[in-house]
Amino acid sequence: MMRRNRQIVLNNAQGAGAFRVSIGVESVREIELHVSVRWWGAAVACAAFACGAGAAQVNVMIEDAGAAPVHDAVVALLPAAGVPPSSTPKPPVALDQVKKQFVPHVLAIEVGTTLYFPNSDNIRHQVYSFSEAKRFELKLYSGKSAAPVLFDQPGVVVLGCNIHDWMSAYVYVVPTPYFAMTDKDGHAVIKAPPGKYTVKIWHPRYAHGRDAVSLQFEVAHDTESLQQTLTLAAEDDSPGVPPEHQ
Amino acid sequence: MTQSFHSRVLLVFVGLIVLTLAGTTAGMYVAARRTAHGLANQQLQITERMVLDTLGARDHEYRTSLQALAGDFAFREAVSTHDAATIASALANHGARVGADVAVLMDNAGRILASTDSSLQTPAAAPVVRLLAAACDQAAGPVIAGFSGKLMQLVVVPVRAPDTVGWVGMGFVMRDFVADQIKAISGTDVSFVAERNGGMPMLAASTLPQSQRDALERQLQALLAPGAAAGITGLEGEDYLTKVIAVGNGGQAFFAILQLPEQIVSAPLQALRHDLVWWAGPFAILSLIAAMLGARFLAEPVQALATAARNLTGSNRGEDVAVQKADDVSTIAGALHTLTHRTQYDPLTGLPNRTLFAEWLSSSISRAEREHTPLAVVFVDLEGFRSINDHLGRAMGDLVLRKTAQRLLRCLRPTDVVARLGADEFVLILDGVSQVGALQIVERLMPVIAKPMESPGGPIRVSMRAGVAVYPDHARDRESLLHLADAAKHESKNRKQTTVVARPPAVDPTPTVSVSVSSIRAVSSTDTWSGVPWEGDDLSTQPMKKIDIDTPEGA
Repeated sequence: MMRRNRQIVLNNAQGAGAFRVSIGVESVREIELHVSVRWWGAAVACAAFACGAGAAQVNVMIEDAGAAPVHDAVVALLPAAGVPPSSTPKPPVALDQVKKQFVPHVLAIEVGTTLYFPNSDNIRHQVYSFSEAKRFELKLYSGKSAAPVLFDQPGVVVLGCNIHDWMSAYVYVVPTPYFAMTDKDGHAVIKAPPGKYTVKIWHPRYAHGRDAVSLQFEVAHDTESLQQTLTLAAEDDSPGVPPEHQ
Repeated sequence: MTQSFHSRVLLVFVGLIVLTLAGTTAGMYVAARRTAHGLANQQLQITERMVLDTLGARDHEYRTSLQALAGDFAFREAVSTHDAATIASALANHGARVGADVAVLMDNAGRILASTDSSLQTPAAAPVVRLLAAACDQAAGPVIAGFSGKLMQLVVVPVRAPDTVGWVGMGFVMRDFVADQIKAISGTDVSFVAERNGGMPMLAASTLPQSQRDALERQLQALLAPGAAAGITGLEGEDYLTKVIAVGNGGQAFFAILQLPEQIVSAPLQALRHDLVWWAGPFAILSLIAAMLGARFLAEPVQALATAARNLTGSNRGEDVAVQKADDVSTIAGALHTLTHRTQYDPLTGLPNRTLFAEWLSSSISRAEREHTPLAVVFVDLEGFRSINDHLGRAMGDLVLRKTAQRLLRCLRPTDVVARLGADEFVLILDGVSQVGALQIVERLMPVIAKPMESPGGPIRVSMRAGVAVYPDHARDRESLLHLADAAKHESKNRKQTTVVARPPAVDPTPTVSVSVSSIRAVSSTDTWSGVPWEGDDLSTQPMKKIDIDTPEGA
């Protein structure tokens, strides 16, 4: 298996702090069902992708400036040829509220996905977003009484609770079925058919509210592999913590 | 001597009193002065803490009221969606509600997006905008900015939705009432000063009246110069203890000037000085009186002793030391008396001895000279005394001498003097008595002395011989009188008579006498009389022999 490594370092003009992103691509003969996803919505997405044939496996590794793995980074592959139309309805995804925190804190979904917001706390929560990609407000509610919300525009949606100011969640709406989030080891795996892609990476600490970084690369049929490294500036905007935990 | 003892005691007392009073008073004054300054400094320190507390409390209060706006859902939505009209109205409304003088909205980069004061968007307001950005950091503490002639306390809080989408800030002008509130509690005058960018410092709020405020403003630059943080400042003729504190303030200097009227220190000190004079003055006078009494009390016995000593050593005939109290002084006086008595009196007969006799004779001559009265000196001895001493013993001799002394005294006037010169030699001084009178007295004495004396060994009989010399008929000085009397007595002895022989004045040629007197003086000094022991009759008789030789025989 031939392997070609390429290193690209993108210095962000903003400066402080950095992420280092390594992208390795290798073609695979067999399709593997990757189960390293942690919530069922994503697992369904991967399962759907597994139906394709002759896919490549894109391994993404993200670490911060101190070489510590970065989790909850969203990696999306946008095919240059455009996303093939799909008539399959997207399964709904849940974004829970547990102990006055949104769970998960970061969530990636494909455009057209419906999110619903169960409230697992025994107090009432409100959910709002003033983000351009999706502006909505769920007035105070408890349990599963809130109406589901359809995310039909790509972009970052920042969610808050008007009652509990520290609560926040980030929903990254991507216009592609080829995406994943890094796990606690900073690792993400995306399977995609051969072709040219733009990879977009997004993380709350890096670029909330701004365009994700983009990088062009190609997934080929042969055994060629490539390795790329990007350095991204980080912003210090860690998710809020309830006052009693501070 | 005694005068100086008294003065010395008085001097020591007065010195101690003055020293103690001066030391105590000075020490008290210095301590009070230190206390007054310490209290004033403490008050300034308390005021300093109050200023910082007040600014901190205002910061907290404004922050809380600003958080109400930042947390408002509609405001958050307006900021998130850049709804300028809603933002402007919210800033104006909330600013008015909490009494802010200016309200702004800034983006995350510190740029002003909206403001109730359009002048904040001019370049002149750049320092304020910088301070506003600095105020975003709550840990920096209270931020105060000088802007268009005013001092503003700035408070900035983030607007989160839930990410930080902007910063809302407000400015509250620091008016005089802020300083007034601090003064109301601390009693210290407070002035707030901001340093303009490169320009003159600006006095923005103060508790001082306008005229003093102007005076302070003129001195600001000197006061705020480095190293001039404390001292006394004169404002319109009134002195103030001044302390300048710099408040940490996001880069632009901000000062609070704390001032206490200097009177707060000097007035109590003046009162203390007054009190000290009123208390220490009378005490000093009382102490001085006590010192004088004490000095006299201490000096009195010493003076009494001195007087006693003077009397004892002087020629006051018959006067004695009056000792009334039985204390140390009376003991000393008694001892003095005894000592003196021993040197002046014959212990056997109690009669004055040669020394005292010489003094008394001198004073008697002086008096006779003064009063132009005669004076008789009678020299007496006892015939056969030596054989009594030799055959019957000294004790018997002593008895005879004592008896003779008693008999002589008994027969004479109290003012007459009987002295014992030595052995069996007695001398009488008869004031105011002429030769005739003296001879009569001697004749009267003869049978009395010749009376037998009772003794354990049977009656003893002695006879008396006498020689008389009279002032001024025979001589005018003490020694000549005595010598002439002695010579006369010897004459009677030579003639084996028991009668009295007086030398006629005519046969006593003056030149011979004067020669003999001078020869006596040449041979022996006046100490012959005073220094010779009372028993030493050898020495005492020697000069008399010379007179006998020089005196024409048979005259």
